[in-house]
Amino acid sequence: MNLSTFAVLSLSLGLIYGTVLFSHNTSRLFSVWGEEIQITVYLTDNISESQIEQIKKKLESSEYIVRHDFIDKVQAAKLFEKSLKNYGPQFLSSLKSEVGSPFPASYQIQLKPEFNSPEKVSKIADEFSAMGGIEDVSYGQEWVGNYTNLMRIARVLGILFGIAIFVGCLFTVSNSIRASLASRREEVEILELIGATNNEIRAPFLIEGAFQGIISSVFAILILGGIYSYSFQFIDGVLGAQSADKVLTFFSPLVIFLMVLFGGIIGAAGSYICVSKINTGWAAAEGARSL
Amino acid sequence: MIKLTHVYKIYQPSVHALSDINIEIQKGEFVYLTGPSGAGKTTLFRLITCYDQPTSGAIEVAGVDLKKIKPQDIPLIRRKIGVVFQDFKLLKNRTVFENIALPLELAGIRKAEITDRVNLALEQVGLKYKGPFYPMHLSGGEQQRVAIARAIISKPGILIADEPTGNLDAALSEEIMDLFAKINAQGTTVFIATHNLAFITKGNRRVLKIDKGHIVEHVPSASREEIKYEIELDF
Ligand SMILES: Nc1ncnc2c1ncn2[C@@H]1O[C@H](COP(=O)(O)OP(=O)(O)O)[C@@H](O)[C@H]1O
Ligand SMILES: [Mg+2]
Repeated sequence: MNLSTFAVLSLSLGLIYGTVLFSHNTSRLFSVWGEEIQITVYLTDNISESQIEQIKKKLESSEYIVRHDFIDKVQAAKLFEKSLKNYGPQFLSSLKSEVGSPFPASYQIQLKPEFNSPEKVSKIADEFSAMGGIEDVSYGQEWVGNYTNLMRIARVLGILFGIAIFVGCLFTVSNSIRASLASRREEVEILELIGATNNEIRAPFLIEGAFQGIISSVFAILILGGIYSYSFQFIDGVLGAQSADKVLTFFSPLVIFLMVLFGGIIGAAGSYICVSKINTGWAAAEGARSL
Repeated sequence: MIKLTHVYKIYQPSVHALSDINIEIQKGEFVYLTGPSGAGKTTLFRLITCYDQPTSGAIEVAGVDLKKIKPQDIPLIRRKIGVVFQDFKLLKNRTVFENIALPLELAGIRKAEITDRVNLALEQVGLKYKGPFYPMHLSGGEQQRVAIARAIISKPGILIADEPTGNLDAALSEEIMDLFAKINAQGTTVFIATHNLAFITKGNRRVLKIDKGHIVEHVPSASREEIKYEIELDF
């Protein structure tokens, strides 16, 4: 394998794997920084006993909720008053009764960190919206919505980008094998002559392609490992109290194995594009043409 | 063993490389195919070894109708035919031993047996001690012997040689031809194309003479002596 093939392959695979690493860790960072995300479920004034029971049951049985606090209409008014204390205390004093308070009762729900991603928050909020006796659900829809849209666009772009790089990898390997095949044409011709089957002739080239993919994958992962541990220290400093090893993760051994395998498969596939043209007379015909 | 019936080969646009070729070669025969350069000898061998299809006509090799053969079976036919070329076609990066062992490796034969058979073949072609050498360290005559050893190592039944002495001087050519005679004596059908007639006159061999794609003369082995002089005059 020549150096340029190796460089292009490692870089391309590094970009794919790096994108995976980056997006995985940013969503984890988000779930840490987004700790304050709360879902507030506002109840209707005329909510029935059975509806309250249902909501309670859901709150208690849900696997994604850390804690929930009930805030009745009076407390809601008090909270509102507290937040406006400095502006107009006398304005609210008349409303501090169960009947008089214009504020709805609500549940404030705190989610477990692993359910703190925007996608999950809005999904959980929708579950509550769908229940009876609920006036409104609020969770900072606007920016979560923005984030979700952004992520959706990023995902589509990422997939397109990944496909482009994938095709690029195939052609890089295919070109390198084409050169190798040309330089070993006479050898292939001799193999044809003594009755080697197509597969017997192709196999060494497929192995060569797979080997290029595997070596490049390993190298790309090593480089990413270097970049990761460098950024790890940097982010550790930024996070302060939160230690980075709770937030950031590198590829697991299984993922590393799959990535190396992926490299090998790309390599073999790229090689196959090129050697599939080998048939029982290919090399001899090429040789005759070049005379 | 080899049978061609009304075989035509026309290369586009209009090269009539072979025209109405009818040949039948029996098992164990030794046959020369001779004719000037461009007569169609290589074309004929390419058809027999499945590198090309005739434009029309039928070819049968070792009982197989080549028109009916599936692409994936072509290698199997080739394993039944040993082929020797003018330019030896040896792998430069493999030793003499490894070159000769190649067909046996493809056939999946055990290492110990390969060693025995290759050593025997080396002895047969007179290169007993050349096994560990690389082809570039051998003379042309020796390289051709290696190619012949490789062609017969898997006991192919048919040995085809296209101008096997084209790169060799007269003395070496004769040695190579003697080797072919020895191989033929062991039962292998031998079919040799050459435009060099010097050694055809030696021995009592069947000769097919081809010119411009036509078989122009057929000299059966029994009547060799009578027409020997005639052929020599022709060339
Ligand atoms: N692939 C090809 N395409 C077109 N013409 C060819 C091809 N191969 C051989 N020929 C022509 O067929 C004729 C016979 O060639 P060849 O069989 O090589 O002759 P020989 O081996 O007897 O010297 C020649 O005129 C040659 O130019
Ligand atoms: Mg020729």
